[in-house]
Amino acid sequence: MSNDAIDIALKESLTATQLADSLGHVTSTLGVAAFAHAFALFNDALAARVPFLAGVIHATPDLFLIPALTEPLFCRRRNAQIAAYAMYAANDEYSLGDGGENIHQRMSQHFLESVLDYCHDRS
Amino acid sequence: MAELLDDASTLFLTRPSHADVLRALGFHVALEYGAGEEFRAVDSFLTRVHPDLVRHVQRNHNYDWISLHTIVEDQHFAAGLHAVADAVSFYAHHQSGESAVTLIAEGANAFASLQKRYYSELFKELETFHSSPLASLSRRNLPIAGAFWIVQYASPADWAGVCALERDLFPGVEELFTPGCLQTSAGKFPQGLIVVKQRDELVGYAAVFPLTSAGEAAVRVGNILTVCSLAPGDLSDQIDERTPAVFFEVVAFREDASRAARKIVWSQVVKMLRHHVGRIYVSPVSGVGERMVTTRGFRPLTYQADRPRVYERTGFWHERSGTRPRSNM
Repeated sequence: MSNDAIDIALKESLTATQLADSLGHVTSTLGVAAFAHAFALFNDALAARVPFLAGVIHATPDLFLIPALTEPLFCRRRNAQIAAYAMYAANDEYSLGDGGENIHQRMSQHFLESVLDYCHDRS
Repeated sequence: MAELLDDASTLFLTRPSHADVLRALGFHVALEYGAGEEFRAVDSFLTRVHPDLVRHVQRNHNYDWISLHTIVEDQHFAAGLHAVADAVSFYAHHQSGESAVTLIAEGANAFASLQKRYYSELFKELETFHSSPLASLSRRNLPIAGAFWIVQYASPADWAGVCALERDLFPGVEELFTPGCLQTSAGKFPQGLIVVKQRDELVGYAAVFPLTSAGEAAVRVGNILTVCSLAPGDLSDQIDERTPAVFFEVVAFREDASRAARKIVWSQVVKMLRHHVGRIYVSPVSGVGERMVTTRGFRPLTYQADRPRVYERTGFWHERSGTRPRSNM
């Protein structure tokens, strides 16, 4: 099987256009608040798996090896390298700058609080 | 939804087989690809459809979470592709019969499936959610009571209280209800005057009255600001498809009026207006009321600078919850 299978699978996810079409039906401000809450929850859940995945890859030592028959086996491992590429997505997720205000979960909480604040003023 | 959120965090990651690790990697790269699309769609939707909300959220940089992710996900996706390329190159268990590519593609498909199920469930909930509040409330008939409030049609015993409340809520306004006016208007169409009582005290009211053809003509030529200026023959005793016009006189609440009760009053007003397909006349006396009618497509019928204006609109507007005036019109 070629890498085309991965390309095809990637294109199976929702496109911006498809999501925008569905969002077009969310007309009320309260509906937007409910969407924002669900959107933040979903993204937070997905963000949580990134370091989890990096840890799992790193903790599966002999799954990814360079093929050369050098010894010891430890020197053939590339699991940490693959974990590092995966973990790259979490670098900014857990940035401790600005007293923790840049942690993405915190940023999403501020976003949601502001949306709710706006809706509260108008309901 | 909770189960889908659990899967979003941990699918393929709890006690994973070697194959699961590769599926998890496919899931990862697909989510990084999908996240960029999601954030761009949400950003585009909010800035286009809810610009006021975006301006509000941008204060104190609270919109940064959205803005940032319209860009960084592409970098995360690129790193994910490196991970996939290395995983395919260095996969050490080809002899198991399952290729790394197949397993990674399975994981990517699993993300697409989970993402679609999550948003499908969400939009199904939202459809119910955003269509329900006024629609479901408007299906109920008055009176409707809460723990300490009741929304009901006004009886003649309430008319003096309505006049007193109106004087409190609209100080300085000349064209106010009088008991005699209410006898003519609410006496003829009792469903047109709705009141909110909290612990037996009047805290809000709304008035919508149907006009006859003569009444509509009087409004159009006479700069009529209130039904009190109309003759008894100008008012009708029903709202139906044949009613040429209605006068949406007022909706007003004291500051301490229950939010739930306000929603019910609005739902009943909406119900009356929705059944009516002719013209709606309104004469707001506050800035909030004026903004409300102008943002809903009402057009000024009169232009006298020194007097409140009468506005008109043909047909019912689809009320959007959350954009109603917070104070009195």
